[in-house]
Amino acid sequence: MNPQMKKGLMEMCILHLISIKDLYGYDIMKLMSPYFPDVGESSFYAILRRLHKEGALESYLGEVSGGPPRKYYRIRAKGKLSLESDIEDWEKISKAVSEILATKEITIEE
Amino acid sequence: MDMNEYLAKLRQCLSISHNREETEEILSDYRSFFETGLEDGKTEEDLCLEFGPPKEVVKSLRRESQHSIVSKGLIVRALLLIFLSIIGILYIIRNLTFHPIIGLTWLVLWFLLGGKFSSLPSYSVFLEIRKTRLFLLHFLTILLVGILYLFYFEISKKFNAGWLPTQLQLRLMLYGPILIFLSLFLVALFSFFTVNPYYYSLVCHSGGALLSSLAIFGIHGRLSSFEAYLKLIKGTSLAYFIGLLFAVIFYIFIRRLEVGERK
Repeated sequence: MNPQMKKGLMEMCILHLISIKDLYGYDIMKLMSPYFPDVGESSFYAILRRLHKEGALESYLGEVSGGPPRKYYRIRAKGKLSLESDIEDWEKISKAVSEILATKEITIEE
Repeated sequence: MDMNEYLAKLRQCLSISHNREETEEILSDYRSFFETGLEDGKTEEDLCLEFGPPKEVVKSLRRESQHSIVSKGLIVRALLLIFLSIIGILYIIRNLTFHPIIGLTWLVLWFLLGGKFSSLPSYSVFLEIRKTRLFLLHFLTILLVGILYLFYFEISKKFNAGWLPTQLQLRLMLYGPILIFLSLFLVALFSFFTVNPYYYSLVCHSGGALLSSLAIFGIHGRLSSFEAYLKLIKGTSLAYFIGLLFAVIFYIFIRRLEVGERK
């Protein structure tokens, strides 16, 4: 699969996960990697950092008893908007693709 | 590999392409990932494998940050700068002198119009990613180009007064700049592909400078009269113009990189 396409999809998935619950970088890496076994965990981290830089996410430090504070990510309005439009696009495309792939016969009316 | 080795290696890789602030941020993120993993009952070795080699981490980060190098308004700026350069070159060819006030006005215009795409990038790139080495190399290139031009202006005045250089002086004058700019160009090109895409503007600068020194080399045989001086100026100007074309080609290359990255 085209790596750019995959990256777009991974971005959508990460945004979706964070939109459900504020997440820590480590959690995201562990949640995502079983679904994308051939992608290095560092890619998820890099996407996370970019989303944060672009203003789709914001971060805050969460205190944990013992151990260093963890950086949690929360979705911002900008991130929500882009997630909504990504999901909309994705639903259209996946519907179209599955219909095309389900085609067994082609009849063209003259 | 254990955690400390991993983090040390990561720091080393990051220090080439990221500024200090970012490096510390990423390192502290990874340090906390290790702590969390250890709490989950994993070993340091397991975690090193799961996070992937430090080189890979830096590569992923670089792939993601390539988005933001070029913004949309830059193509307009690039065209304006090319227009401005042509005017500048035509002015020099016609009048064969630099008037300080005209030169200064031109420079101000260049920076105002060019923004990130002018030589100013040396400065704005520096502000943005705070890479001292990149900034210094930029500064050095521009400084050397300036010195080279002043030098040849002086030399041409001497030529007009009937002075001729010795064989050694001639060689130094011809091969020196070529060697300097060739090495700068190679450093820039190497850095662009391996270290940081921000090096593209240094590639343009040193490429232009290299071409102008090659042009001077190309016409040196006829450097004995005022007409030859004229040719020299025309030659170097042409070479710088080719350098600008180079900049545009590089710009398009970067742009394609960026578009490819988007989806």
